[in-house]
Amino acid sequence: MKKALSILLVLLMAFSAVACTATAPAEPAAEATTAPEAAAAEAAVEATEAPVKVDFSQNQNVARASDAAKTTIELPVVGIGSTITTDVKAAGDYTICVMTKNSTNPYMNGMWKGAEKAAADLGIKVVTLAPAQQDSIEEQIAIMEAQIQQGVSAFVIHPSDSKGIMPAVDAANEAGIPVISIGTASASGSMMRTGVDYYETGVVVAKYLFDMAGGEGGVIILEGPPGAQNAEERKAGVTDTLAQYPGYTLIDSQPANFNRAQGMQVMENLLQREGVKDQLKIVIAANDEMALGAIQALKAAGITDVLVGGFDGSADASQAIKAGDLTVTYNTDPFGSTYYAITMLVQYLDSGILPAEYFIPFPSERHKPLIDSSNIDDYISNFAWFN
Amino acid sequence: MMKKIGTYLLQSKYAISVSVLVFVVIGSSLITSSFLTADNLITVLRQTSVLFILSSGLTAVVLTGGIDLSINNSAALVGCIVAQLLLLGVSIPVVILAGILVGVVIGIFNGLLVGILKLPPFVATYGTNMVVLGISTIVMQGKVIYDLPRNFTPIGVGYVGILPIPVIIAIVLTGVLYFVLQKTTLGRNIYMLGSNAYAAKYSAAKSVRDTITAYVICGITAAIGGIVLTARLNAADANMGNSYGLQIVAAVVMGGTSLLGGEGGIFGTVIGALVLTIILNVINVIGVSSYLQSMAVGIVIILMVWLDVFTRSKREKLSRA
Repeated sequence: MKKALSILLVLLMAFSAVACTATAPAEPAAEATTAPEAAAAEAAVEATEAPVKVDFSQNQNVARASDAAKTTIELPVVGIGSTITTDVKAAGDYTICVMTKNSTNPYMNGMWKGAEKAAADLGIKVVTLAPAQQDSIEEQIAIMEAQIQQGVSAFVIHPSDSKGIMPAVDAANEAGIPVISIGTASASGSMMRTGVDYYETGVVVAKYLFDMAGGEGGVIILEGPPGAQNAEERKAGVTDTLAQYPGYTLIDSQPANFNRAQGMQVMENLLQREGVKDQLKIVIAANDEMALGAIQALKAAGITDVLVGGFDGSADASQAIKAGDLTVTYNTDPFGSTYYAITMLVQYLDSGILPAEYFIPFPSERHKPLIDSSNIDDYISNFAWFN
Repeated sequence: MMKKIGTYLLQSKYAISVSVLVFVVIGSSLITSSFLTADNLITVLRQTSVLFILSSGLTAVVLTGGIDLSINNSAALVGCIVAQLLLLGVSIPVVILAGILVGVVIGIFNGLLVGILKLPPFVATYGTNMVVLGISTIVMQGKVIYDLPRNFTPIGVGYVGILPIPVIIAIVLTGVLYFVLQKTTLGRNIYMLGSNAYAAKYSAAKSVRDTITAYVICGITAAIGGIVLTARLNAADANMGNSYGLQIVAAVVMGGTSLLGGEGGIFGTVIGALVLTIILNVINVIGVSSYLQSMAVGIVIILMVWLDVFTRSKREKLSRA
């Protein structure tokens, strides 16, 4: 009996182990074709004549994108979210590895879906991978090393840590494999960075809410994890904007670690401080999860006249906008970001076209990223990244 | 007289935890006038109840000298399954029973790993934690479920009179666990398993059965915690347990239940959960800088456990003398 049980358990474990590793194994990629085309695409401001294998190892990460990158630099893609398309087609037989921080977060899932559409549209193969232990930087490095061994053509990565991922990014550069970072960028060595400019997202959402709330009142900010660069940038965008609206006072800015349960708890606690319930006009949470937690706390306290802003444009945030609970969110569009990154990589692999700048945010303000009650139906049914 | 009080404090198993709690409450009300208001106290109780429910069954496991690190993700899995079933329109009592059943299965699985395969509980349940996270991921497919039926959410945010429903659930669980641990043969065996595993071995089969039962209790409370948390957040996702993590273990140990087993009890866990929650509450209410928050919580945990260990060694000296 005992023996049979042991065997059963072992089998179960073996099964789960296999299930965990059963993501499509990358086949050795064909040699990247190196015929540089003279086709002067407008995006190719710095297109090189030389064949591929540019050295990106000296590229340093920057936290904020230039105004040109946000407004005028042309992109090889049109649309946003699930409607994004491109004319670019792969000339070679490429395999691009898209590696995310984990496999549970809807944002990471959106990256995978964007990668799948890009694979179909551009005619390439993508491998989507994430660590089994969520957000494990060691596993991320191991994944990249294994993919380099497999001869993958390029990487799109969302590292858990910008410095921690460096050994693998260095190894990719040594092997001549280009890397594009999304979200958290590698400290150096990426061909380019895309995803949103976190500072810009903070500014855009804060402006929207301050313009809407009548010019005065108390503001609460729910921050991401203290010290995390993305969280700090977004917070700086909000607080810098707040400084331009003297009618508003900052009640407090407290971390809730991008987590819904903590967002709710911190909001409940802040509401207990004397006078907060009367003063509070605006809550800006650094992601949708915390915003939804805060909404639960506000509802439980019977407060209904507070504007709440979030970031990400997630599926449940969209429902909350539809229900009138959430005022606004920023469509950070992992689907489109990943699609755009893959398009840039294919252009580079095909003909050596380089990005005009290191950090070109996608989506940025020009893509009309704000989702509110006016466009929520259109967003949900037509272009949301989670569809 | 002073000596008498001192001796009494050393001998009573909850004396230190209670003193710390009293100290924290007095300190908090001195720091901010917003602390000792009825509204805030209810808020604190409501927040404590989720952490406590998740930690309550762990008390039984820790008393056997074991540990269960799979609680946070088990709770998340139960939350995800409950939310999915609710969306399918399954009736609430059935959904709750199904959720608890999931907890029982996870408990049996952990119990078998530890009791029969004799795996070290620390690693075995850590493994289970990852397995259940994986199952949640498959169940949810990377999605978050938001906006649950209106007659379900009161489990997390509703009131009976002035008492929040989660608090009532926590009180009932405290009573049940107190009874099981202190008044039944199973409870005595659980303490015996922890205090002297060898002596408990006079019947190996019984010790295995009791170990499994302890993990099943833990699985059930994890499931109840997951249901309450889901109702409170009005949402479920695969990651929803991760803010609790080791906090669950901290609540048990801060309450004076020894990780070596055999010593402690359910009231300690009540106090541990209360102290942790009050600290977070005060930190938010007075607005401690973001960078100092986790440090402050860490220091409180270390201090409280140290006080407990310190008095325990004194107590042992006293009883030897």
